[in-house]
Amino acid sequence: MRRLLGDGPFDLGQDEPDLLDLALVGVAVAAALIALATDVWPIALIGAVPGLLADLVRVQRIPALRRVRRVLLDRPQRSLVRNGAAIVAVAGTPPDEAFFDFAALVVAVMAVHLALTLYTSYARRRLEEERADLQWRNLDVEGRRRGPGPLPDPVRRLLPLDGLRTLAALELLVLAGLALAASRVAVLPVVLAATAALLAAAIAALAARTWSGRGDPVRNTDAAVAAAVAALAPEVVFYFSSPASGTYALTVWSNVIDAVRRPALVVLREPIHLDALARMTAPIVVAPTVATLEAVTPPSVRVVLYPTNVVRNNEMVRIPGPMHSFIGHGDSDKVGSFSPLNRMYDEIWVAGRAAVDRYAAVDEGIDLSVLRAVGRPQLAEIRRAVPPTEEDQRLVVLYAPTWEGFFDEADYSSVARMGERIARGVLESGAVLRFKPHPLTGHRLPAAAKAREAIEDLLRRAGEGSGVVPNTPDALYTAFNEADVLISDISSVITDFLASRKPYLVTNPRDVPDAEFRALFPSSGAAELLGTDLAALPGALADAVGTDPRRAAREALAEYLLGAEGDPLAAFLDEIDRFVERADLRIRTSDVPEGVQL
Amino acid sequence: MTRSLLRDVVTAGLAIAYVVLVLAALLPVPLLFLVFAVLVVLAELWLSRQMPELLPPLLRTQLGVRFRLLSLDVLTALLAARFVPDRSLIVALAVVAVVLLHGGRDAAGVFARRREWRRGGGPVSWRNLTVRGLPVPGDPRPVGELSVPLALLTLLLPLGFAVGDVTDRPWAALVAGAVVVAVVALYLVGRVVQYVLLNRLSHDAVRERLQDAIERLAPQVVVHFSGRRGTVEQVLLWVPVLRGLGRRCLVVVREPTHIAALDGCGVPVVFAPRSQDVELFMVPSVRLALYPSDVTNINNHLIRVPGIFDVLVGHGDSDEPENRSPIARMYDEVWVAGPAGRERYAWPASGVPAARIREIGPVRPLPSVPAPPAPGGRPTVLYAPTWENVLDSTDLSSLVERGSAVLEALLARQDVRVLFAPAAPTGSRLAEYATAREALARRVTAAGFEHEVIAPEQIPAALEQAAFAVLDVSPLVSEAIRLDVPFAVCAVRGRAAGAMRAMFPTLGAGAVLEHLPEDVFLAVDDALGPDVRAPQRAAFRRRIDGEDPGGFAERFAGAVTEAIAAQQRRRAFARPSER
Repeated sequence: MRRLLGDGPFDLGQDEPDLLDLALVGVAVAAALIALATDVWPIALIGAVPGLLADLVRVQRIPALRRVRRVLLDRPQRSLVRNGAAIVAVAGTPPDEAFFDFAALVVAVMAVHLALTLYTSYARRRLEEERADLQWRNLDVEGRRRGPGPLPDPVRRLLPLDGLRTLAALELLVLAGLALAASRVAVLPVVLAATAALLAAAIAALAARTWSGRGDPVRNTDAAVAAAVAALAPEVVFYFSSPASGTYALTVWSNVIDAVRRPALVVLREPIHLDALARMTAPIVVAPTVATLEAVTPPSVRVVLYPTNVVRNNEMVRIPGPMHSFIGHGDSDKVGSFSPLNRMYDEIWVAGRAAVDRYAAVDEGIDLSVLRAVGRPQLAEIRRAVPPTEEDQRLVVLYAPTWEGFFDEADYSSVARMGERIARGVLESGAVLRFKPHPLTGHRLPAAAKAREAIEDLLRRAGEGSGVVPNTPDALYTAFNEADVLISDISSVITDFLASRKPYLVTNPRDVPDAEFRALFPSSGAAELLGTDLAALPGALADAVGTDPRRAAREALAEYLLGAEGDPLAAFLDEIDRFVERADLRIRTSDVPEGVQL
Repeated sequence: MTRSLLRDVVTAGLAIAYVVLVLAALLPVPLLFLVFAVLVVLAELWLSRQMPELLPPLLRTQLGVRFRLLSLDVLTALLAARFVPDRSLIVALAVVAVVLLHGGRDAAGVFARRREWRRGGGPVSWRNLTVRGLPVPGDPRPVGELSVPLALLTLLLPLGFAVGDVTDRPWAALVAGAVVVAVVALYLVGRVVQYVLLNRLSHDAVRERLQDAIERLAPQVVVHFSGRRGTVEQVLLWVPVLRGLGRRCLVVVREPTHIAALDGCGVPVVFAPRSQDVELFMVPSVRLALYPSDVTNINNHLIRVPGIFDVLVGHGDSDEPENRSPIARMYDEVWVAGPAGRERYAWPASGVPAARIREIGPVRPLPSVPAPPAPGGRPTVLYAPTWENVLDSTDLSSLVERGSAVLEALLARQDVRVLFAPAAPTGSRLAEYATAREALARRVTAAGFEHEVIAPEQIPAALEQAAFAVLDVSPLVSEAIRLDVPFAVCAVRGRAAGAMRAMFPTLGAGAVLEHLPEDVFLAVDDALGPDVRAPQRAAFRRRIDGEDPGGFAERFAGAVTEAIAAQQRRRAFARPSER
C-alpha cells in the first residue's frame, strides 16, 4: 500500500505502534486499577490523559520493533482500552452515578471509535484511487512548480486541526463528561456525550462526502507530470536512488547538474532526498514505482547518469532506448566502484587512468572499452597555479593535515608528531601559513588536541596573513586557491589539490623509506616527502618558488588520477554531448517504438 | 443462501449482538451478557476458521476480530463495574484478566507463527541436503487468526458473573477472574519457555551450520531463482539438466513458496531470504551462477558477489520484451536456444554485445512419442493466456481484454473440445485478472461436454495434445511451434495484426486474432483443415531450436565447462589467493 507508512505525506496515525504508545495505554490501565483500589475515580481519568495527549499532538515517531508488532495496539485499539479503563474505573468506584449519563458516554466513546475507523478507511481508499504518486519540483505542471502535496484533509478546511486529531480531541469531551457524571452533575454529561457523538458523526460524514465520488475530484496528477516531462523533452537524466544517509552522493553533482547545457531532468526514486536539493534549479521528479518511472522517461531521453550503484538502478536500465553510464560520486577506491554489477551500464565514467587500472586489476567481466576517463568536474572551482605578479609577494603555505583516525593503523596524521614543528618551520622561512585541521583532530588522542591548540596559538601570534581556515563547506577549496604550496597527510586532500597542479609536500610521520612510501600511496608520487626530521622542508619551500623540479611529475600524476588537463566541468559537459550523440546513433538504429516502453 | 446475503446477515447479526452486549453490560444483565458473549465468540471462531473472507473489508482490517474481541473484553470489564460497583477487588481483577486475555490472544498467534517458522527451518531453509546439528525442516502449517482455547477462555468471566448473579454469589466472578489470570499467566510462561528453547540456537548459528553443509557439498554450479508463487516450474525445467551435468550443483531460491515443490528433486536446495544469506552461501567452490528468471532486481544480490561467472539462462524462448531487455547486460553471458534468441539481443537498444550471447539449444526436450489422442474424438483446442506480468507496460495478456470473446467463440463451435489454461501467476498482481480467470473458469465448467479448465502444470501435455491453440506472446508460442501445433495469438492493447507481427516476429508462424469472433473461426477452420502455416512453423522451429536440438545436454555441458574456464582465468589473474 502506498504512502501509508513512513515518509508519506498523509499520516493516518495508525499501524505505527511503538512501545511508548503501549506504555501510555499501560498507564491508563494502571491508573484505572489504582482508582478501583483506592475508590478515587479522578485517578482513572487523569491516567487516560497522557495517551490521549500523545494521540492529539502525535508527530511521527520511529516505527516500532516489528517483531512485537502484533502484540501492540494501533490507534483505535489504544483509545478503546484507554477509554474502557477509565469508564470501568469510574463505574466501579462509588458514588454510583446515573445510568443514563453513563450509557450516553459509552455510546459517545463508541461513536468516536467508529468515526475514527471510517475516517481512516475513507482516506485509505482515496489514496488507493488517486494517481498522485509522482512528486515534482522546478517543473511546470498545470501551473504549479511543485506538488502534489499530501492528501487534502477535509477537517483542515474548517479547523486548524486534521481529522484524526479532532477525533482525539473529542475524547476529551468524553473524559470531561465522565468526571462530571462521577461528580453527580446533572444534564451536562449527556450534553457532552451527545456533542462528542454528533461531532464524530459529522467528521465521518465529512470524510465520506469529501472522499467519495461526489466529493473532491480524485487527484490524477501523474498524467500531468508525465505530460510536463514529455514537453520538457529531457535528453539527459540524472537518476538517483539511495538510503537517506546517501543523499550527498547526488549533491556532489549539483553544480554539474545545474550546468548541463541540454534539457536535463533529475529522477529520484525516494522523496527523502528532496530537502537536500532545495537549491537545485534543474527539474526534479520523484518516481517511486516502476510504472511512474516509465511515465517520466519519454522517448527524448538519450542518456541516463547514475551517481550510485543500487539495486533499483535495474528498473531504469531495463528501459530500452537511452544509454546508461555509471558516474559514481567521488572516491573511486571503494569496492562499489568495481562491482560485477557495473556490467549493466553501457559506459562507466571514471576520473582518470588510475580508476581504469583498478578495473583491470579486478577482472569481473567488465569490458575495459566501456570505461571513460572524464575527470572530476566537482573540482572545477580549484584554480591552476598562476605566475606571481608582484615580486615581493610572500609565499602562502596551506597546512591541511588529517586526523588521527579511530585506531592506530588508520592514523596518517602528522599533527601530534610534527605539526607544531612544521608550523614553526614554515613561519621561520618567512612564508604565510594557513592551517586547516581536520574537524575531528584530537577526537581520539589528547596529544593531537594539544598540538592543534599549540599551532593555533602560534598562528594567532604570527598574524600578517597567517591564520586558521574556518570549517565551512567551501573553505577548503578557497584555501587551495589562495595557497602556493600544500603540506598535508595521506588523504583525499592531496588528490583534490593536485587539480591545481601546485607543489605539495606529503608528511611521512613513520619515516617509511621514500620509494616504499610512494609505492604504497601513488598520490604522493609527485610530492616532496617530509620525514619526522623535517630536513626537506626548507629546500622544498625554496624549490616551490624556484626551480620546481617536480612540476612535470605533478602534471602526469594529476592526469593519471583526475583525468586530462583543462576545465573539468567543461570537459564533463562535452563528454555528455558526445554521449548523447552516441546514444542518438544507437537509438536511430534501434527503431524503438514511440510511446511503447518495451 | 448467496454469499453476499450470508455476509449481510452475519454482519447484521454481529452488530446486533454487540449492541445487546453494550446494553447487557450497562444495565447490567449478566445472564444476557453471557448468552450473547457465547454467541459472539462462537461466531468469531466459525468465521475465522471457515469463512475468513466473508465479512466486509472494514470488519477484516481496522474493525477486525482482534478489535471486536478487545471490545468484548472492555465490555466484560464494564459489566463487572456495573454489576458489583462496590467490590473494587472483583472489578480490578476483571480489568487485569481482560488485559491479560487480549495480550494472551495476540501472543498465541505470535508464538504459533514463530513455532511454524522454526519448523520450516527458521532464518533459512533447505531440502535434499543434510545439515549437521539441525532438524530436517518441514513445511510450515498455516496459523489460524484466533486460538480456540484462549477465545473460549474469554467466556469464563461472563460465566462467572452470570453464575454469581443467578446464585447470588458474587465471589463466583472473583473465582472466574482469578482462574483467567492464572491460566493466561501460566500459558504465557509456557510459551515463553518454549520460545526460548526453540531459539536457543541463534539465527547466525543456524545460517553457519547450513553454510558448513554447503561447504562440504562444494557446489560448482549454482542456480539462483526468484519468482512469484507458481513459477517454480522455471527451476524444475533445469533440474534434469543439472542432474545430468556431472558437477555438484546447488539451487538457491529466494522465496519460501518454491521449496515444497523442489523437495526430493535430486539437487540440493537452499532458501536464502536475505542478500547477506546469498553472500554467505557462495562458498569458494562456486564458479558459475545460472539465472532462470530475470523479472526482479533480486538477481543483483548474487551478481554482485565477486568472482563468479553469471549466466542468464531463462526458461524458454519467446518474443517477450524480457528476452531482449538491456538489463541482460549485467550477466557475463546470456544463453539462448537458437538463432531466434540470439537475434533478439542483436537489437541495438538492448546493448548486449553479440559475443556475450551463446546458443545452447532448447532446454525443454521434445516428446519422443506422439501424444495420445484426445478422448472423445473431437479435436482439442487450448486457450492458454499468459498472466498480467509485473508491469502494465509489459503486460501482454489477453485474459481480461479478450478472454471472454475467445472462449465464447471456441465454445460456439460444436466440433472442438475446449481446454482453458490460465497461467499460474494470473491475478498475483492485479485482482481483476483473478476475477476474470474465475469467471471464465466457471463459464467453461458450465459449458459441460468435455470442456475443461486445466491446471498450469498440465499445460505442456495439453499443448502436445492440441489441434489448435490460442495463446499470448509467451514461451508457449515457441513451444507450439516446436510441437508443430497450429496457433493463434490475440491482438491486444489496441494493436492491429500488422503491429503485433512487427513487434513479435515469431507470430509469423501463426494467426493473429484481431476481429473476434470471425478471426477465431477462420483460424480454427485453417488449423483443422489446410493448415497453411505448417511450412512457417517448420522454418521458425529451426530458428528457435537451432539445427541440433537433440544435442542439448552435450552443448550445455560444454558451455558450462567453458564458462568455468573463463571464471578460472579471471581468478588466476585477479586474486590468485582467493579461489
